[in-house]
Amino acid sequence: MKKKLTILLFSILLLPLIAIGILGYNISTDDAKLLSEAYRDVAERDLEQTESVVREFMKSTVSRYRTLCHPESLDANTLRDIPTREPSIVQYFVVNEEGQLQYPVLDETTGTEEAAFLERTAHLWKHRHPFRNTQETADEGGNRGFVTWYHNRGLHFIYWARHKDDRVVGFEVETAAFISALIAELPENTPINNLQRYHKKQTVNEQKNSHRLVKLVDEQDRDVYLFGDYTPDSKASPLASAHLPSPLSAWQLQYFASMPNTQGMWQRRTIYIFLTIGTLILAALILFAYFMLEYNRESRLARQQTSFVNQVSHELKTPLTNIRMYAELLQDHLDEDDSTEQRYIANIVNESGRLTRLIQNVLSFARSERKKLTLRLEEGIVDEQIRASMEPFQASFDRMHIQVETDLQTPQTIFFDHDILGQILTNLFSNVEKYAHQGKWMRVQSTMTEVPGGRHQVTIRVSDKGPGISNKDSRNLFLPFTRLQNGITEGVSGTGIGLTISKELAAVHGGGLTLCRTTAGACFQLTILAKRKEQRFARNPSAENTQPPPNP
Amino acid sequence: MKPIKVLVAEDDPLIREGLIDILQAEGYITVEAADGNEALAKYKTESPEFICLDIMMPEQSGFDVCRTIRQHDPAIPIIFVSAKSEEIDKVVGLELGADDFIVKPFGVKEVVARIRAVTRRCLAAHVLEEKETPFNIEHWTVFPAQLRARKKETQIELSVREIRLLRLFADNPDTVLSRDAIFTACWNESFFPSSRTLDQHIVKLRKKIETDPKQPMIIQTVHGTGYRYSGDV
Repeated sequence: MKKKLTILLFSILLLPLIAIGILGYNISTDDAKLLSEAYRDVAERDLEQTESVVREFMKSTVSRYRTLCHPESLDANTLRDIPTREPSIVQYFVVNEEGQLQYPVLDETTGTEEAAFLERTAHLWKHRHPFRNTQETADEGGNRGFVTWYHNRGLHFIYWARHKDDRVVGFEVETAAFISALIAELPENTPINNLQRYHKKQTVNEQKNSHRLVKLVDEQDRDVYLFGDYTPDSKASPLASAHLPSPLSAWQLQYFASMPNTQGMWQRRTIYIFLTIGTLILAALILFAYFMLEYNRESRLARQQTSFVNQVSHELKTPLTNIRMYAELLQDHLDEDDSTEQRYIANIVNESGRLTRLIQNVLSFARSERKKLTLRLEEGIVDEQIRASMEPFQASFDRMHIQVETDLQTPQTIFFDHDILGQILTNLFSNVEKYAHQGKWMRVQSTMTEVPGGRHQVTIRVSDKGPGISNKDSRNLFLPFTRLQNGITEGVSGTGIGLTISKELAAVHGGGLTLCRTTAGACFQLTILAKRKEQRFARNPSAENTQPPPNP
Repeated sequence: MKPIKVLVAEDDPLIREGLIDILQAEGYITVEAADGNEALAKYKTESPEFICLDIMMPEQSGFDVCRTIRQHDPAIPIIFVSAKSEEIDKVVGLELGADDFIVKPFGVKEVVARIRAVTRRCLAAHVLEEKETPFNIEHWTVFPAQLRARKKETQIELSVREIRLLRLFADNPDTVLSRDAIFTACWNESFFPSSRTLDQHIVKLRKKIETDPKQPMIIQTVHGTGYRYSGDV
């Protein structure tokens, strides 16, 4: 029982702990993923702000460029003069209505700058109407835009605008000036640190002051400009990135930030989970230990009680022996006609017999509690044992006018435990004497049948015409300390262990004790296994569960 | 018939006294001991032929006494009389060579029956040595070695003393036997019980052998003198 209880308690406590552990692990890994996602999200939002700065810059720059595409005059001198005042312009150009380059052209007046421009832009002028259907055309139905190209490993781009007379006026932008202006717009640090806000909001303990870096990289992934307070690994990939608008669409803004230390976080989480589980296990163990201590304490208490009763019963034996022995000796010495004295002595003898039975039952019960009931087979005749067990009750039965019928059919000499059979029969007869005497009738039957294995089953039935036992009461009849609550036992002394110990003893003898179905009174059927040579019998559980046959 | 001497070793004086009374009523001579050491001493000095041993005694337990005695005499009948009723105690007792085990609290009839059974089983040779052959008294045939008598299909159990009484009457038919003569023949000379004791024995014997114990035909009372066996009933 103790082993089962231990397994049960451990299962009840351990299984939820394992479930909590698995759940905690999953939550922890999910949390790490979620945190990474949140970081990316915050980084994108941070980058979005930088992008908007760039967009604003582009918007104002394009607006200015548009104005510059409409100079007060398109004559060569004016167009040569403006770049000297406007640092963002390298060289103006004009394409006439026919789609041909009108300015600058190669002739005797062409300056060095113009010649270099023509060389750089030669690919543009191969075709007529170079700004029709150009993919770089950015806006307003192809009336203005940027054209970007590379020359001598350098980025070059021009801004152009179509005039109402269908001429196209544009200029090559000074790339360095453009980039400088763009960089000048970019902050030294990002104005709003969403990451820090996020940390504050999430109360994430890790990296309360996060470090980040925004990089502007060119088409060859070279750093053009960077700002922030974080130095990422050379191999680190950005948390978020965004391409710049035309004409720098090959360029990127890259956002780097110190990622949350999910590994460390996971380790800490794991420690917390294990600490929690450990605490729960400790609590469970304390609870378990408490229950076991309580259980053991109660078991010990029960054992002590049983041991005490056992000890007391032993101590009662000596005085009881003297009372019984001297009463019987006195009975022998009294003259037959001393009827009053004989009656008194008979009462002492009977009562000491009753006390003897009680002590035997208590001691047997204590032995059965300690699983120490054993069998001692001796040669004998069952019918003689029945008569011998009935003999002490004879005087009492006579006095109560109980008519005893016997139908004993087991005269064979066999091996059985005389003490066990005697004790069971004594209990059954004692029950008739105590509870069924008003029926004024008792019948005892015995039969013996051969069973497989060369053994014999002795069946003894004790029937009476007393008040009987209801179905409800019969369920608990063989449980220890059960006394029927129907008035039968009222005013009658008893311990409530007689039938319990009788059933136990019958089981030790390889048989059982059952209550038979009867129409009136009660009938107990006792079976025991006997053999012609001494041997121990295994308990026969089936005998305890067999349905009692109907009482004839 | 030679009297059988029984050693009763029991620490409780009342139980010891009661057992002695029972044994003497059965016709045994008794020797008593109150502890284990005394039991061994009496065994050596008195040479009993039968021993009743309590287990839990001062000085030495009944088991120890039994073990020592068995080393000297493997055949002497020993009965344990004990309050210890555990299976293991019985097993140990019987393993040590005890012939029976009586558990307290016992009834007089149980003790008598067990003592007679052990006497029959173990002391038949002792009785036969004295050439105690079966004899007849009326329609009964008495078997001293078996402590029994039979008449047709009926069999009765008898004590040693009852057999002595029957032997005395059978050997002296139609003779009035005085109380003193009966005491001398059937009781230990050193112990003369009251005449009431003799009367009670005769009453019990009549219950066993007479057809109507109130109208005795075999053992008749001779008022003022004693008893007479009428050989021609």
